[in-house]
Amino acid sequence: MDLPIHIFVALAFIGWFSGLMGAVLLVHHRVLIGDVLSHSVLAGVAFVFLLFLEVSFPLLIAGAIASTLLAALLIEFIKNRTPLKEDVVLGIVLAFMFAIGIAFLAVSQKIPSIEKAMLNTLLLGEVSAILPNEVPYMVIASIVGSLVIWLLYKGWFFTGFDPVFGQTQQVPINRLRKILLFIVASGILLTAYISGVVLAVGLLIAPALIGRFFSTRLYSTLLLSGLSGAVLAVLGGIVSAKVEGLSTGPLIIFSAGLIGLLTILFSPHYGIVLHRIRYVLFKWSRGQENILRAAYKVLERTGNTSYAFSLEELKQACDDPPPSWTILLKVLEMKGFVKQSGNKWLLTPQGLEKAKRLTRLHRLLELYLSEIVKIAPEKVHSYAESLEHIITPEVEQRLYELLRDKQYDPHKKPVPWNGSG
Amino acid sequence: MEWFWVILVLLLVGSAASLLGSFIVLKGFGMLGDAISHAVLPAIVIGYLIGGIYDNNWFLILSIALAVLTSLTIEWLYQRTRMYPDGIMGLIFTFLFALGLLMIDLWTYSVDLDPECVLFGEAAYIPFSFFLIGNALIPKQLILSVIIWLIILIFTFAGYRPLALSTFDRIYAHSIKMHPSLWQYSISALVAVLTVIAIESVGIVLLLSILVVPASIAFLWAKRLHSMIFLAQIVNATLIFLGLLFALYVDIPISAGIAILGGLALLTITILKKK
Repeated sequence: MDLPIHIFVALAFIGWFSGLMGAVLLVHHRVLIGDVLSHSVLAGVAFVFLLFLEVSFPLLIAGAIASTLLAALLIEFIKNRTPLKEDVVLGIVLAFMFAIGIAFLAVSQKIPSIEKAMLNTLLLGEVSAILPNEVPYMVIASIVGSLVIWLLYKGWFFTGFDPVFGQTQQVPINRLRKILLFIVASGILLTAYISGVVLAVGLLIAPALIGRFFSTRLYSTLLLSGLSGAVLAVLGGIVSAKVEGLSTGPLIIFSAGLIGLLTILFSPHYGIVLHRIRYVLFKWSRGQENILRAAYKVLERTGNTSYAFSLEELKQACDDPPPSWTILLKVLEMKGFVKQSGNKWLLTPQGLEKAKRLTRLHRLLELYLSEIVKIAPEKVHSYAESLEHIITPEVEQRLYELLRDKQYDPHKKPVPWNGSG
Repeated sequence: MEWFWVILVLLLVGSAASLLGSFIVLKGFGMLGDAISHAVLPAIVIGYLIGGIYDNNWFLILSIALAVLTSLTIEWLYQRTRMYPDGIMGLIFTFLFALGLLMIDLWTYSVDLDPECVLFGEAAYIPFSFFLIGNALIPKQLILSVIIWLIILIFTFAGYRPLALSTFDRIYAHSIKMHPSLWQYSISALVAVLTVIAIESVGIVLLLSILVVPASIAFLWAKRLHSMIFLAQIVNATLIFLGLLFALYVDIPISAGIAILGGLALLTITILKKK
């Protein structure tokens, strides 16, 4: 199946606009509204069928917009008047509007003259049905919609991230939220045209998640979402043109969903896999630091001049045991901080230096927390325990300067300054 | 006799759905049923490919497996990212539904499957397949409905305290080792199983409606959880009987009729309610 060029133009523009709508909805945590609105299209279209018993493009659009607007109004109305959570309101309106659609459809199917194929197209989307003379309208509508979203950029910033602060700045938060709903109510028709009403929300969500997971700022999220929407839609079109027998709409949503899932798993900043790896690495480096500090504690107690300690002594002295003693001791040995001799372990000079630094940091943090932050001395140990692993060298230096004349920590243990101990 | 079965199945599935519905409404997972009902399409296609269209259980087993897997995946992805639970849910169910449609495209010669029937399902057209138990012919859908109804009933009553606690005060529930996320996962999994059974027996639209509407109406009136659950049961039964009459009167599908009436009832209450 060859797709003519005008279809790709439509795909690119609608994909861009869908991604943009999706991104704004996503940062408002309202992306499933897209699903409710697109399912409502059915009711309006089926109603127009029943009323006029014919298929004409402007009439269908009017019916579809009327029903998505009705759904949007219902959502706002129920949400404002009841304490129900938004997701529940969405479920209620979705079931209601979709049931109306199905009822109209069932009635219309008793009338023989109506083309059922048309309704199937509506439900599941049929890209190849886009005619060249419809494309300019789609392009213009996408551009207008995108412009409206860009014009209100500052507003999304407040409504999406900090509505309370927005209210103090005289930003009309509630009106903006309504405007967003109505932009999507009209715009979702374009999306539904290429993907069908059931899948339309997929073309909103996948690009939006890609944009959001790859960037930390709102404008880059919007730009990236729009771009990935356009690229994904065109990509789906190209693949469906190459592979015989696959419908374009589902193919677009499938590939978009796949790339969206991969993004959630592997994106650099928020991706689950990298996040997990960073977490494990942190746990292991924390384990090494805890072992060294426990070793210092043991030596402090025994006063062993050859800096030797046993594993049992170490385990007793450590409050936050590492994931694995044997592996981490081996790692520390490779790094040259400890040495094994018989069934004892020795701290090397570098190891001693590092253990001393970690202990100093821990005790200074305890001092800081108890004397300056005024936290009860019996609580400071566990706070310091978690803070000491994430302190930057700059903060460490400031602590040294701030507390340089202190000799003892809140538990009356000596602070190991350089040159002492 | 056919009508008796239809009403009985409707009441059982409705009762089970509005039991779970109370927790769903309080937690705000109103779109979970919608997501799961779309996500099971690939399992339905594979089920039909293996066992043919008529009277096979592959469809049921695979769908339940996929539905539970989907709901657990959604929950897991959210626990891991802590970002956009709604976005992740939407992504997964549209992805799976699209996959199902592509599978239908690919094997359209061997599968005579209409995605519409998955979406619309209609109570009165259920092709009942009967089992002979003792002297009576009992439809399969009724047996399934009774089983799921009993499971959910026992789950709600036996787990009432932990369920209530993990719904209202998750942190406290966690601190006394009640495992609130385990209860959360169980609710999702039960919604998944119920959804699959509903696809075959009462239709998705109706399930979406009874998962949220009776519990929401009850929520607007009741002050305590147990009275909310009880009230939801009464609302559910009333809606089903009135909806049935309404649907027969204006000659539309029964599931659509009940769902429309439910929506209208909630709207009326919203309008009449003092703000």
